[in-house]
Amino acid sequence: MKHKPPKWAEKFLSWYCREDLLDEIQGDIYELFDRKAVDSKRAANREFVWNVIRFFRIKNIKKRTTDNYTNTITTAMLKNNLTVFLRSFRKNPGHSLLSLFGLSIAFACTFLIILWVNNEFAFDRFHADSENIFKVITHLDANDSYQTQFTAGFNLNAGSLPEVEEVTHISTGTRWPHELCFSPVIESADCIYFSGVYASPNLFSTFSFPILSGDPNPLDDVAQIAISEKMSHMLYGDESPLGKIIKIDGTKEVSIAAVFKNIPSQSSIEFDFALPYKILQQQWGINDESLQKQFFDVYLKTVSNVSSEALSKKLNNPSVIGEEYISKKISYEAIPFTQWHLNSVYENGRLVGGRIDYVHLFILIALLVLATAVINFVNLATARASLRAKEIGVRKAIGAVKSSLVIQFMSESFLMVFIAFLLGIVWTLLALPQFNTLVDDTLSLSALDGSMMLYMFGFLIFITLLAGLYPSLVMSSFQSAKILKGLEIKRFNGSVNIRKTLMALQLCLSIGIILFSTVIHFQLNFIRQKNLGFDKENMIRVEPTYRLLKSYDAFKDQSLKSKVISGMTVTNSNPLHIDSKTMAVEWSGKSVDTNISFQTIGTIDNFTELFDLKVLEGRQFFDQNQTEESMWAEAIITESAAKLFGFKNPIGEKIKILNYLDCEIVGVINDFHTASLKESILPVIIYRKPVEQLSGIYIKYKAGHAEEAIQDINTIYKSLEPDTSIKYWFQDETFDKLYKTESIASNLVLAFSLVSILIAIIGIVGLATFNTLRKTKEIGVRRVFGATQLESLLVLVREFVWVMTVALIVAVPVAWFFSRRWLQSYAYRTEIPWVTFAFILIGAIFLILFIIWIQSQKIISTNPTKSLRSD
Amino acid sequence: MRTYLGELEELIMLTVGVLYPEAYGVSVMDELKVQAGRTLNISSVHSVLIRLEDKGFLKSYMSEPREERGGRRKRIFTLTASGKIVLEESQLLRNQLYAMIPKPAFDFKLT
Repeated sequence: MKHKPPKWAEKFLSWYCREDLLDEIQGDIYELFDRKAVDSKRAANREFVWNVIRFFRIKNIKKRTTDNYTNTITTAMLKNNLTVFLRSFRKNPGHSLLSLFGLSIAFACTFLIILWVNNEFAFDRFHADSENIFKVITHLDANDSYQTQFTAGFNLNAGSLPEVEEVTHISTGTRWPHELCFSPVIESADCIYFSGVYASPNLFSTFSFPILSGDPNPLDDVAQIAISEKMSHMLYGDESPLGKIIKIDGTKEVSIAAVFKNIPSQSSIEFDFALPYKILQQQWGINDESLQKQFFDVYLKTVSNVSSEALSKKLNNPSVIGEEYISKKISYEAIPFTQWHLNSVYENGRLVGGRIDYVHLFILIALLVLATAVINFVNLATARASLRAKEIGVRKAIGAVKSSLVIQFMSESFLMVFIAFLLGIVWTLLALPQFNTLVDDTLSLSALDGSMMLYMFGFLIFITLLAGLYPSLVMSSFQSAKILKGLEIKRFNGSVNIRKTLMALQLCLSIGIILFSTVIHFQLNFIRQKNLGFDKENMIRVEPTYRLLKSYDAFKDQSLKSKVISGMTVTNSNPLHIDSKTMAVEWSGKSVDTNISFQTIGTIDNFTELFDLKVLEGRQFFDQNQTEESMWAEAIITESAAKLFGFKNPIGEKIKILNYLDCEIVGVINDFHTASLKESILPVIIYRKPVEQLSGIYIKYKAGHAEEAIQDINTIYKSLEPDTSIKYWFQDETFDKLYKTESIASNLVLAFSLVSILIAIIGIVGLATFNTLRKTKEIGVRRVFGATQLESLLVLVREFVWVMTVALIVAVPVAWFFSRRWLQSYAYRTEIPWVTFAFILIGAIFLILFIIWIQSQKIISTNPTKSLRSD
Repeated sequence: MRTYLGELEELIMLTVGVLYPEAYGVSVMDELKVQAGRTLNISSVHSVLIRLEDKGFLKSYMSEPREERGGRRKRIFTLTASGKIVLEESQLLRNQLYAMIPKPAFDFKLT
């Protein structure tokens, strides 16, 4: 047997080669192959393939034979298609409008989510060098567990690394000295609070915060301030503020050196003014040496193409991080600044996610909603096909080829999808304001740039293909003779099954989304209503100035005279979210390697009373005035703290906190939540501190009298502190803010689950209508033979029983699985609400039955002779 | 319009003449290897042959199917009259120009 050349090469050659040249080319190559094959078969094979490739030239390639066919698409035909489309729309407007509506709503949902996701991903990317900016975070090795802080030491010697161009320290915060009250140029007006940062001189060169006027490097000088456009406008109106003198805290004078453009909302660094570090040192009263020991937000701008891993490694070099921190088991990590916004949750020193989880969740939901809508559309379109079978039969009989029918239905589907797309944009525009309040952001369609529009167009085509392909293939493959004789039923049943499968899938998705959103809703309610262990209702937090704290007694006495104010206390930390965690707690019997974090609150005598904490053992702080020494020396601990200490009788035991405070435990109180319920309860130590060193006044008012309470407090505040305006928050609002992301997410999921219900209803309505139409005659015959209305209804319902059962059986475990996974992220979580699940399922079943009943009412209740006579 | 012949085209036309009446892709390729020492890929030879036919300097017919070619036919090329003219012209031009080279130009001396 003679050796044969590789088959694929042969095939390739005969595939591409012009027919008139094929014979001789094949001949030549074969001849050469045979000649070579005598020596070496492999070399011959190689040469054969090489020759086939070499012959692959434009001249040798088959030309498309266009003259065999005439062009199948003509304008006349397209026009005719359009007419037929409009007619079928008119004939069955309810049907078409339903599928249009469903699809357009899904589009709107997708657009909104795209806008939001786009916005999330664009965060911090407006900086010119955003790719080369890194944030430095700190991991602290506490034996078995890591604690992560998003700051780094001021003494970080990153400037010594060759790849680091700029090191920027930014001191941020929510309170004094980052939040300051500035008096506007108009006298008599109240001062206005602005929050700002203290930063290294290169703040404005590392980040792209454009300076509109004034010194391009405003932070170089010690007594200068840069303010935002907004702040300038609010303080000075249209006047140029440059060179004006501002007094910080009424004492330190700085001159306005520059006005910068308002910080865009897509920035994770926000501020209205920027001051140099020297001012912060003056504010805090610390020298250069202790400044070095502080931790701040640190950003590094590097040369391009530096990987965060390599940079992190270099940051942990002893010469960069410093020997001291290495011995304290501190390590730094550089993370790309652009990722920071979405990935900022660390657990045990490892990145575990952050907002990105929500981004993924919503992308998933958008896809699901879109999928249900497309399934709907496909279902309704194929269902319509049966009503148009005759049209197809006639078209085919007069010579339409399959491809032209596919084109016809594709163009119809394109038209529908396109209209839905435009409607979707309209819904998006209408829903955008609501959506913005829901997500607490300012999104707009203008965020979509050119490339986005291109993607949208691709998306449009994709959906058209997806939604149009199946119906058009089904419809175009009807055989005309059979259709015209009415014999297409058998074939059609196949597509009924596919439709049912799609329907089950869609129902399953909708119910799954609804169940999942129920769980989210329940969990958030659970959080809101969970007893935190202390009272947060009817309470106002006032940010005091130093002067006000000095005259705290007068403030308190005058306030309590008001009928609506029932009590007040002062602390250095909000019990809703205690910022300070410390491991510096010593007690007798503490083993050396124990590393337990405690939370501490410094406060005055009546803390436990005002927050309604229960004293389980011992007593609360004495309310009489004590000497400075005795005041320091008392501490109240929570139950879990007592358990951790391991004292049999904690009262009277001595502990040392924060490395300098020796305290005696005087009382044990119940545990209370000092952070988001995602975290477990932490042990708390409450100690006393002089009023002047505290930072928040908590005022309890009578329920329902918030307005009056605020008014009274404001009057008293003004009389004691005329220079600044009062700053206050309601505790329950602060509490809600703790779960801002969660409640936004819950709102969105709820909104989308409503949409998916709507789409599911549209799908069921459509299919029920179609089914009823198909079974008109059957029901007529049954009725003639004496079936009751209910029995006829059951015939229609039977069609849906399996669809429903399968959908429900699949949806429940899937929803259960995802809900459980989501709930795992909370330390305190609600049970899966099975009862509600059951109600939802029963509700869904009844809703479906109800829809079928409504749809079939007309046919079942009409005289069967009418339905049998038609046609 | 006057058509010019490329160097490879001229060479292949001459070879087609030499091989008469057995000039087809592979034989032309082989002959070029033997006579001029030029190794060409069969596809290059083929495309030049087709080009020359398009220009009207060669004509071709298909031979009977051959066993050694897997039952494929050969395209046998022969010269046309205009092919002959073109070859002669280029020959003439060459000779003319060669004759016009002055003697001293060939007078190589060690300088």
